[in-house]
Amino acid sequence: MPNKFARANGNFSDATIWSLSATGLSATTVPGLNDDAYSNGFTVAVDTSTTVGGLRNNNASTGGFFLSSGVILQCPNGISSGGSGSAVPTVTYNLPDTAVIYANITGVDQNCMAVSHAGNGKLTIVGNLVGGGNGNSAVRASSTGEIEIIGTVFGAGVNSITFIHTGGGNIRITGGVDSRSGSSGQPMTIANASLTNITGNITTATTRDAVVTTSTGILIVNGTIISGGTGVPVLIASTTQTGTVLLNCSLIVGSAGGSAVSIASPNVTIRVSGNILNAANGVQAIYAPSYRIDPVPANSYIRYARNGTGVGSDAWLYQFTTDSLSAFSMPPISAVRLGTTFANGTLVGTCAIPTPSSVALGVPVDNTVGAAFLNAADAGVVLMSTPLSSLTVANSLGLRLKNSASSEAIGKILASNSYG
Amino acid sequence: MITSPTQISNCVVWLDATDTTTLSSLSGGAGNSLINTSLTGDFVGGWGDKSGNNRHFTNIGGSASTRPTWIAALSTVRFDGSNDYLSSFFNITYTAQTVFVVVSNRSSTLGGVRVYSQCVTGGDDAFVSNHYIPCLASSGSFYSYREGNTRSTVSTRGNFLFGIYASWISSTSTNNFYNGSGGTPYTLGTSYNFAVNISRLGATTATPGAYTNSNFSGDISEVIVYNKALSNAEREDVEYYLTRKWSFLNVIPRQVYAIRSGNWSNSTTWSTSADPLPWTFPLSSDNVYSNTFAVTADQNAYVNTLQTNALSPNIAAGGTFAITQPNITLTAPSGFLAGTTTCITGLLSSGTSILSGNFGGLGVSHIGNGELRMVGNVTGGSVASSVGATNNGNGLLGIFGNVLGGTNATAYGTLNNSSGNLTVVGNISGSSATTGLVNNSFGACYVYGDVRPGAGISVSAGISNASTGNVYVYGNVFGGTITNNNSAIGNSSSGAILVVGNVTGGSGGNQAINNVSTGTLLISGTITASPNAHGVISPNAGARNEFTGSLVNDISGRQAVYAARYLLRPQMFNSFTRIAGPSATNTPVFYYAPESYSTTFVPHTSSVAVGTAYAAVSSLSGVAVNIPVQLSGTMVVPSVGSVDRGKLVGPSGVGTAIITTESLQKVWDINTATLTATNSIGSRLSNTATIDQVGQQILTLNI
Repeated sequence: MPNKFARANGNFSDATIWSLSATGLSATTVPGLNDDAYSNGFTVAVDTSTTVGGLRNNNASTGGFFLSSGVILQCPNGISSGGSGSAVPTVTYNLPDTAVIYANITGVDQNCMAVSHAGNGKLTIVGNLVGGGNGNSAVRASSTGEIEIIGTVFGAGVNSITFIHTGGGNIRITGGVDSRSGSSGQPMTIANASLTNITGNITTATTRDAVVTTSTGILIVNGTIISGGTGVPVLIASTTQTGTVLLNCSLIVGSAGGSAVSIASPNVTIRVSGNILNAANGVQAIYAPSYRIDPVPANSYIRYARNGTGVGSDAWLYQFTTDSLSAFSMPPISAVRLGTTFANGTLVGTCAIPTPSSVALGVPVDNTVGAAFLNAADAGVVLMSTPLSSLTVANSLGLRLKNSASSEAIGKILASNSYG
Repeated sequence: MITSPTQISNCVVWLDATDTTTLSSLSGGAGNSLINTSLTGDFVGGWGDKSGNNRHFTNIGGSASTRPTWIAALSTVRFDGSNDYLSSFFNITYTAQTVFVVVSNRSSTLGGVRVYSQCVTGGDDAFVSNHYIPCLASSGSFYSYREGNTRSTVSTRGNFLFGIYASWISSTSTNNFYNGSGGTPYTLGTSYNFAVNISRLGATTATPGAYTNSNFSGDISEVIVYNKALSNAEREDVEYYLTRKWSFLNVIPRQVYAIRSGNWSNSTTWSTSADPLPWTFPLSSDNVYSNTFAVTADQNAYVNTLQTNALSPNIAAGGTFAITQPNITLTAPSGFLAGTTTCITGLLSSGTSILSGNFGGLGVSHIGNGELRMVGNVTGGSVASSVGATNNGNGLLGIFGNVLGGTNATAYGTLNNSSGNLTVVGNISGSSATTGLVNNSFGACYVYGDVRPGAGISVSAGISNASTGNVYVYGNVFGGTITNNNSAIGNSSSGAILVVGNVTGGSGGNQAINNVSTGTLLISGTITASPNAHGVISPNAGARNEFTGSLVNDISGRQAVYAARYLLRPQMFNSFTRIAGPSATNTPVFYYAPESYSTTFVPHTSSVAVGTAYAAVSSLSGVAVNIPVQLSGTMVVPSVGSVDRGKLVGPSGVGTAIITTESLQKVWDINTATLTATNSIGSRLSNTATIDQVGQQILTLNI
């Protein structure tokens, strides 16, 4: 894969500004599909829709690639920022109208970004965004123009924020935001967007938060928000911030410590429409002073930690909206008490439970034990336990038996009469 | 301080029922046959004068039926209200007079009933305007009749209760007193100057029987008459003398103070040491002061107040009352009142002693290992650190009453400050300035009542748990009603808070419970948010929070529990969570545990055969979920062989058990060795004699 380096300011389509080395002579062709193009300290206008292997900034402190309106830039090798010596974005769009980039965008190192959206127009990026190491960003949007990302915004290197949005424009992300395992950078921060609409999952797996917003605009999430680390997928840390957060999704949290949504301000309007699954150790999926359920989702539920361990039959407590109750598995009617109506009136139990007086002595029945003497052994015990004092009926067998003599008694009587 | 009325000059009459040698059964005055003092109802025909003037009162001219009677149990002379009277005929002209009568009325009568009247012989006191005193009104009051009208009315304690009536008249004014409380003085129109030659108890001075409506029905225990207007000090001396003498009159509070450190039971401890026993000790109506000394309560005592306050001019602030031994009860219905030092110091090392009354700041400090019980309300004081009750020891301090913070920021209602436990049977509230109960110890606090914060600054919680001890509340917990940061319970310790009751956020923005530490919070009850306050706040993720009731969020969206982490452990899955719906006007969304919504959806476990698992959920809205079996039946179905024949059992079974003739005959197969029940027919039959045994007996006896 050959590299081509700009050797002068000019249009990308002008072959004379390109060289095969950073300080070489003019090449005969513009960078193509198999080439990585370096701005090399010069300003290169991407004046027409272009397909190039990749765009790079070889640590230049000036210049860069500037997209013209309406162009479509395709970079299968991606666009990356300059290194630690770079001070300018690799690619900048600062015009009205629209531009489209098909590329994965990657920050590399320190204090510079790969793509800057500084214009009032709309910039669309089709590709994933990955932050660089040590504070570098992949994309920074500082204008009032809209930026649309069709892809996933990943966290990456130490102290980096992959996507920094400081302008007033709208953000649309279709794909998700992921503070993925192994990364130590934050995927995204929003300072001033009027509208942020994320269609996709927002997840965390590390200590880093995923979407941190100080914006007073509207944040909409259509997907699932999952916290798997101590980082929080959606975080508003200010206790006084205003804004609106619409979560049309389920909120799921693990036991690591970070809630799925943590919003400290009671002034933020929060609306949730989805299931809420709290962690086994009790960490709350949504940690906010106030929120509403809107719109009310069908068949939704909240999962609470019950024993704190996530293990055992009492690990969880589920609470359901009433339309969910019909989804429960029902016991067979043969196991339900005779006459008991259940399943919203559609089923009636058939299991007859005899009264304790019809059940053998001591045999469990219902929630008690039987009291009937239904076998000879039971009857014998009862008969033989009859108190002597109760046997008083004249001429009865009981009285006769009560007064029967023991051999010892007979002996005493015989002895007292001094026979012999 | 007098020990005899005659110690005050000008005592002209003194009748004393405690001196039975002055009571005679026949008319004629002292010296006749004495009454039988053990015989209630014995007639009193004469009551001798002890003033030294021989002005005895008799029933001369009367009969047995007109004589009052002796009441042994009360040491009093009872007049029947019909015709009883006692008279004395002596000549005297009063220009001033003070009359004391220890008296108890026994019936609601018409006005104008005479207790003590005086006039000239044969005269009717009703026609002389300066004479009969005291006069009993039907409305439960005494008055004197002066210058044609009733004057200086004073209320009595009511029928059947003794009191000290004092009628006082100078040359220019008159006033009456009942148990030391005076009426409205009346200024005389003319100087008092009244010649008397008949004085009478129980009736008018008119011919006996002439005015039966004026006869007194009640008891007279003592009469003291001075022919001068006593000074206030003299009057109080006489009242004090009578108070101590007649213990049932003990209603006039005195200020009794210690004059040295020592035991309560030692008469030399007290300021009244000059008096004879038993009047040396504080009485039930007395206000008792430690007066810088340490008084050890070595006996039970009932007084009006116990104080370490100063009282000008003789009593200085300081000292304490110490309880060092068990089984002591100190009762002070008007309170245990501290000055700058603790009123009660509990030092008992074992056993239990009791304090009864209300307690203010510095009311009690319990240091010992025993149990000290306080029966009454406890309120913190008004100066710094004036805690109402402090447990500084290893023992138990029990409070049976409500607890309220004081008016200074560190004047808590109660403070548990060592390793001992504190129990409160009553409600606890913070005040506008401070906390009701502070637990600074690793001991436990048990509260059997409701808990509320104060209405003032942010620290005025109902309870503050600030150390490693636990707090147990068996009652409801409410947030405050005004806007501030108060909590009913604040937990900043690693100790636990356990609440068996409901927890409700306050209407004023105050959460009910704020657990800011890693301490454990356990609540068995419903937790409810208000529009402005959470029920529970627990921001520390290290805290263990466990709840066993329902969670009721407010329709505004405010959460009942605002906690990073908690467990929900309801019993029998009978709880629900309420969360606000799309708007305040929408019905909130309820999430039910399987059984709690309705058993018409999910049968109760008690109606499902034991071991039958159900209420699992495999999919919701077509989406696979893996919610395991949540319920398991508990209903036991017996086997058909254990059920009476013909009875239905189970879904299709029929009982088969029956006692047949054949099986019943197996009764005779019972092993006799098993028939051991005492005095049963079984044991008797197992011991009946066989033919062989009888024969053996005959052989043995060689018959």
